[in-house]
Amino acid sequence: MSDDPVPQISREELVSRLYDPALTIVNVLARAAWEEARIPRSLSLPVAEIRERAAAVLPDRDADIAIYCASPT
Amino acid sequence: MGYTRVRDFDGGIAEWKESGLPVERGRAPEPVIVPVPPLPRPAATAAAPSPSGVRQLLMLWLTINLVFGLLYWVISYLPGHGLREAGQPLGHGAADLLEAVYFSFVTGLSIGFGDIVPVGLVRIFAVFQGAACLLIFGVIISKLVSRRQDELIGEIHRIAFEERLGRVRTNLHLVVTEIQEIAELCSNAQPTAAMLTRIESAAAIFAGELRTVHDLLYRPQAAPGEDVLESILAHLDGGLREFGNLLTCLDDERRGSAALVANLRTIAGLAEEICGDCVPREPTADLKVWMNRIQGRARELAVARA
Repeated sequence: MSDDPVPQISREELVSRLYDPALTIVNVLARAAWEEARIPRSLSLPVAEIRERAAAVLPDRDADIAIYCASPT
Repeated sequence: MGYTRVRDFDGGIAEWKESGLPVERGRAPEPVIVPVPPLPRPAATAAAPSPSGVRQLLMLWLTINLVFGLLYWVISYLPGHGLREAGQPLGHGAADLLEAVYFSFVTGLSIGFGDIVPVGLVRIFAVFQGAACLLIFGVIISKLVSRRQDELIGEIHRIAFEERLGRVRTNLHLVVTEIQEIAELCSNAQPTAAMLTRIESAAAIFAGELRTVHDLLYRPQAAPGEDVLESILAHLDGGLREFGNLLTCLDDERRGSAALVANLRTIAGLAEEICGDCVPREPTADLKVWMNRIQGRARELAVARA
């Protein structure tokens, strides 16, 4: 990823595509936070593990991906 | 790292939860089932001993009797009209006013002792007063009787409705769980005849409950609250999704079982008619999302069946 700001995905779009298999939802919080509560169907990929596990969790580099963390930053 | 279509959901899990959207918890990915909110308590039935309608009628009845009593007393100033007691006309004193009011009540209650008799104009007024008071009394009695019946009928309707809602949710939950279980079996082994039987029975129950929900949505005067409806719709959506998955694991021959085909046709047909803009009630934005998703699933299911 470059330094450009990541584009946003709206809540409406996320809700409407919640069960769309073409959209991968990724939670970048720590594993414990993922276990505590997460958006349905979301995968766990903590920021600290991105470098080593990204390729395994997200093999398709051109797939639609929505990432989220705890709260508005 | 080469990812081209990453987007950020800025609100994060905090905003997601605040909006009341479903979340998953725990280690293993769970089926998406919105937590079932408790049934809304019905408003306490108004059981006041004297509802305003009856009280107002009683007041009207009293007022009529008092006004007519006063009228009879005033009329007695005209020679040849008024009230007579033991052949003598009543005078114009305070005691005579009381006598006139007494006569008025006796007339209003349609007793007619005959100790005081009307003369002239008063006879006409007394007949009208008697008729009016009799009518009002009849209305009061019928109100008292029907109020109790209305309460009972309302209570019966409410209990039956809540029971039905509860049953719909339980059954939908069981069906979704059952289908998930079968899907898991199916992904591990070749589908068996026993598995097909389970799928058929799950489809039959699902079709029945879907029909009930369809009726609920199309009869808005008896619709449940938004939160209850949302949980039911979420279950429906989950069920349709699981059915779609399940069909892909059955081979063509098993998919063609007559009972299953009929039930799936019913399911797809009913779900097709559930969408945000086609139900008569005006749903909230969240409910619309669920309904539209259900319609989408119905179309997927129809395609998967074909």
